[in-house]
Amino acid sequence: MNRTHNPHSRDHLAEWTSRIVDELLGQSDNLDDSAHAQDAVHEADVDENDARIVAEALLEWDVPPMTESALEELLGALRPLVPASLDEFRFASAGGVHRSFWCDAKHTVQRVPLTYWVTSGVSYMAALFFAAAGGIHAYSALFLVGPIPALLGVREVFRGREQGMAELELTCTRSGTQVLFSKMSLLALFSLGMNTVLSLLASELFGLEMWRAIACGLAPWAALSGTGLWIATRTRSGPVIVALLVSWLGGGGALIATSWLGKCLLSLSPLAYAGLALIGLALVCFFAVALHGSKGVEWIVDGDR
Amino acid sequence: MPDDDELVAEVLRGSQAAMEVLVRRHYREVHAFLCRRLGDQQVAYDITQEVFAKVLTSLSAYRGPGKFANWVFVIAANRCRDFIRAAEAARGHLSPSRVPDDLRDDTADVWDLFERRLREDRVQTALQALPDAQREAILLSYFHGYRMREIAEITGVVESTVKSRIRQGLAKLRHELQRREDTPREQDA
Repeated sequence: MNRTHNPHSRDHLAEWTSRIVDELLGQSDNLDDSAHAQDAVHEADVDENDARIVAEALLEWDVPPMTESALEELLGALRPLVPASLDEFRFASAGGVHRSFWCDAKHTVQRVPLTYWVTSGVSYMAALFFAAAGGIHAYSALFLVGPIPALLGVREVFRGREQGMAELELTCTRSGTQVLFSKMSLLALFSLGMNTVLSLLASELFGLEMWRAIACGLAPWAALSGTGLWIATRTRSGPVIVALLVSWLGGGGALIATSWLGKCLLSLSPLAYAGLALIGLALVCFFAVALHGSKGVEWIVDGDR
Repeated sequence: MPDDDELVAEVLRGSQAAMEVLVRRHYREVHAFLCRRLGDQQVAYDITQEVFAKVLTSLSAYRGPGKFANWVFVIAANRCRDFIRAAEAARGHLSPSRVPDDLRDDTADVWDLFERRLREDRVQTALQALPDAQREAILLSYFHGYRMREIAEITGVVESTVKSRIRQGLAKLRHELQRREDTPREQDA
């Protein structure tokens, strides 16, 4: 369907006249019917001139659009017919901040694409696999893979702003930044939890020091999440986050290839790990709070073409 | 901006906003189609409401992708046929009604408005002389830009039937328009 046409323009008249004749003669779509159509056109004696005469007359026939108040009335009548699966969410604000946060979070889980969860899980599994196979040092694997889900999460948070109609719906009851904040918190908790589980698993499997294994994942997680948020709030661009992730993997991979990183990580003092993690956490908190306190997101709602 | 299929998915998840965007996107075409088809603004409004109510209640039956507009028109065309059948059974025929004056652009010249009204009347009356199926096919083709194949999908007939309806409709319409144009001249002479 050509929805960009204007039936009251001369261009449309000319376009329709030639199209209708082509279609009646069977030149455009259905070649099997062409012989039949040609016979029929001849029989009914319809040519381009006839189509033009009719089109000239139709060109004049305009109908006034529905008024805005009539449209509002129509929408009001249709609202009760929308499936009610978000009702729980819509009225959740009555239950207080905590309840609405978990409602947002629950909704977020449904909105984050499956590829995010799968990619994050696969990256952790791959790290364990390469460490077990002896390809890389276990500490290096934890260090390298730690920030991946967090960076992918930052990308998801900002991507959701561009295309989530559900977010638009949520903004009816609370601000868009609250929705972003809840999404970001959920993804941060997920990546942090997965990091910790991976570190504990690795320390068990490969006999690593537990605190060092946890710190190995936590420090780059915090540093890269903070950097990612900083970049995202300024550039508002998903590809930049992907570029950061690729740079991290490329740079980290190159360091691991020289086996320098593993030795370095082993020799770092607990204070250095804690310092790195604290700087990263401070960055995360700073940008999260800045984002939460901002004026929010502007949504374009223009259904009219 | 999300496409129709994304909006449908959101509506199925319960999004009122997505429903609003979807309706705002399509109501104009549907309403204009029904106005021209039924010739009555108020009836067209009521049927538009029924069409979108039907769309929402049977949204889970929609099978995309990218065919939402056609699907809505299938529902509109069916509802329209039902209405016309019922109205014809009750009243014998539908009479085209005038567009209310207050909806017109009152800044235009009175004489222009008068001429315009005459031209519109001529087209409407000529179209009313066509059988319903032919009128429907011509309206969908001219005003809504549908191709023969799509009209066949919407009206539930084969493509060759649509071609035949449009061909015969055009021939009759041309004849009617010509006749109505000639009649006043003959009277003047």
